[in-house]
Amino acid sequence: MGLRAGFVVMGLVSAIALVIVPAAAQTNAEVQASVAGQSTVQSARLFADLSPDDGGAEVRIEYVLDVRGTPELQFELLGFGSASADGFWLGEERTGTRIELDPQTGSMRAAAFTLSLADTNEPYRLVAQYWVAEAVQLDGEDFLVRVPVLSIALPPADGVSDLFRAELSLPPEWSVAEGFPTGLAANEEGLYVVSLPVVPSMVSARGRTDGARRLGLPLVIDLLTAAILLTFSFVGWRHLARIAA
Amino acid sequence: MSAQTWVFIGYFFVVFAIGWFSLRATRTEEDYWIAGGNLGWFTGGATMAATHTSAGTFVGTIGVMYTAGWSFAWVLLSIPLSYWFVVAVLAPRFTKQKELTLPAFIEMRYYGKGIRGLAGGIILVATVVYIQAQIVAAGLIAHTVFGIPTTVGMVGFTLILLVYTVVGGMMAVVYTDAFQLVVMSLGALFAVPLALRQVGGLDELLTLAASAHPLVFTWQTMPATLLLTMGLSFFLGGIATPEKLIRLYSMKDMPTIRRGVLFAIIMILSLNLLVFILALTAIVLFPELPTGDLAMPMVATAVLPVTLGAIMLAAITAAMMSTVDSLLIVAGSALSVDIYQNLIDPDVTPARRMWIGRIGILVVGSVPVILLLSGVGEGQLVQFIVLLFTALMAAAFVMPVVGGIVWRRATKEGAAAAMVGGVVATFLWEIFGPASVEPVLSGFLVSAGLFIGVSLLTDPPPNHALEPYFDA
Repeated sequence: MGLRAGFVVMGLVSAIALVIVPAAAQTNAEVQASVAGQSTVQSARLFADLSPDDGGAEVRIEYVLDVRGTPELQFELLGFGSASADGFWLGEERTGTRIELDPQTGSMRAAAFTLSLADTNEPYRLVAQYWVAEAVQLDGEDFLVRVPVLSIALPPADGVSDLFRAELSLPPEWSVAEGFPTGLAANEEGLYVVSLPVVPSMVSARGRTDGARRLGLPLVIDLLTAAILLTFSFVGWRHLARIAA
Repeated sequence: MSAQTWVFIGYFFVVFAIGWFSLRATRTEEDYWIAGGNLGWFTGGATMAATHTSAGTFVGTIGVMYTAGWSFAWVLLSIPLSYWFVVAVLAPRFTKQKELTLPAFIEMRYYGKGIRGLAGGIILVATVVYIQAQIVAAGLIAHTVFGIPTTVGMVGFTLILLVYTVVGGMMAVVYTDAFQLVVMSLGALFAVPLALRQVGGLDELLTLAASAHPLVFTWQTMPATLLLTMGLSFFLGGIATPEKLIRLYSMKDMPTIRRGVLFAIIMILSLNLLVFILALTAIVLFPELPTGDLAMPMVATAVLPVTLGAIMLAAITAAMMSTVDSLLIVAGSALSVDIYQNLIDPDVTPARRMWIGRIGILVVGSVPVILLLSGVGEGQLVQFIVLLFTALMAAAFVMPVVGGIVWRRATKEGAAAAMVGGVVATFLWEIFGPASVEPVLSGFLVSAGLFIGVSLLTDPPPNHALEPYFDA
């Protein structure tokens, strides 16, 4: 094959690529258009009141939804260890609707609810309340709090960094060393607050009931990581400097 | 500024420092293109592993497993098989005569400049496809960490990458790869125990994952044909992708290559195992992600402590950079050596050739981000872009490279037909073929058929083309 033939073949390959690329772009545009028509979760605000007496948690979660022609909502709740809920109130406990969660695979519980609303561009506000038994586990002075989050099987709205926000009310004498999601910290009112761009399946915290401050595992791992990387950087720098010299 | 931002700044400072020291250590063209061809097993193996463990692993693999479950793990069994093939069959003959680029090998074995230019052209086109996957993933990470628009993240990532690759060449690439492999390993290693601690241990994780995603441990999420052909794609891609083959030239000798490849296999499989566990964690903790590609960024920001989480995201970025910088080196050499010198100016000086390579890297690195900003390729799962690139490379180069060193009768015409036919068949299958079968199957079969058929129909190769690779 000569030089000319090589160029001809290269031209063919490039031409094919140029045809393919717009075709692929068209497919993507169609996919994105269909995604734009989906219902989404606009925001979710969770409030959990931990009771030190019986180890349970009173949970209230306020959803704002952008509902597009899919009035049936699927609710899901995972049980973590002994921390689980069996049903929830949609709306206020005294006036709302009690909905039972049906057991699914393993610890998953689910329910479906049909909204009676027309297709609208207005955000739809929805309040759910439930009780989590054994949300608190005590081991001496150490505690572990796990609050399963009732989620709606809808994707989150794009680009909202604090779409999910949780507020945990813990006894004032307790101290938290680590939590999930990362960043759980006390605000000025003494509530432990954290936010995320998606709705997690639970919120958890570990700490001490006597208020003692201790290094949590995350901090230990952070320090260890920094030490290893600094050491490696130093060794690498020496090696490269020697080669350059 | 947040702690995450400081970690990223510190990380990129280290990468630029490596680029600067590498520039000082680069004296010859061999240094620039194949890091002097004298690497030891650790650096050589680390750069192979880091190149392999790209966004395809830290964003794509975890994303597919989040969506489709553990059946995808089967595909990865093809990785050690392909690396074994490289060491046992390919490397001993392929490295008998060291070249600067894969197309240079093609020219030597197939006695023609035109076919070398053809190989360079295919590499350039396929590189654009692959770099897109990495840039999409980088944009997602930037959006997650800094809250900046995805497009701004994509442009920033590309700029950083281009600067240190253009400046430092292969010397910078291999040493940043070694550093990045350490970062990735640390991130994944520490992430797993912390993630398990959040969900209550490994047993609890398996139970919860099966509860949240009942099909996660079944074979029902992907057709068997898709899994099998994905495995074939990874196997063939592992054998003959240019950025991996060129690393064989970078290492000192065969014993070094054997040790380096073994090290790379161990690292790749270990990292994949850790990634599988993190995928299960994401299924449990984030059941409603809009795309599986967000699984790792969410694990890093919400499960890990702040510093380690930022390091983990830097590690993912590092993985992408490792892959893209390697491809940019290959693309730059394809443009400057295989196309410019080979077809346009045979008397070009080495210094001028290096500068043309740098310009080539700039151009090839910029095209994918321009295409993405125009909406081309946006919105695809990273793993599937990676698979398309792998299929293209496998269809174009497996037969000419492997056939060229094991079959004396392979001819220039057969190799050219295999490259063109393989690429065309892959593209056609990607557009018109059923999605349950990866395009690599049609691409490879067409390539193999043309390679053997056309070679037998044309005159045998001259002796001078066979001497470097076959005993008399």
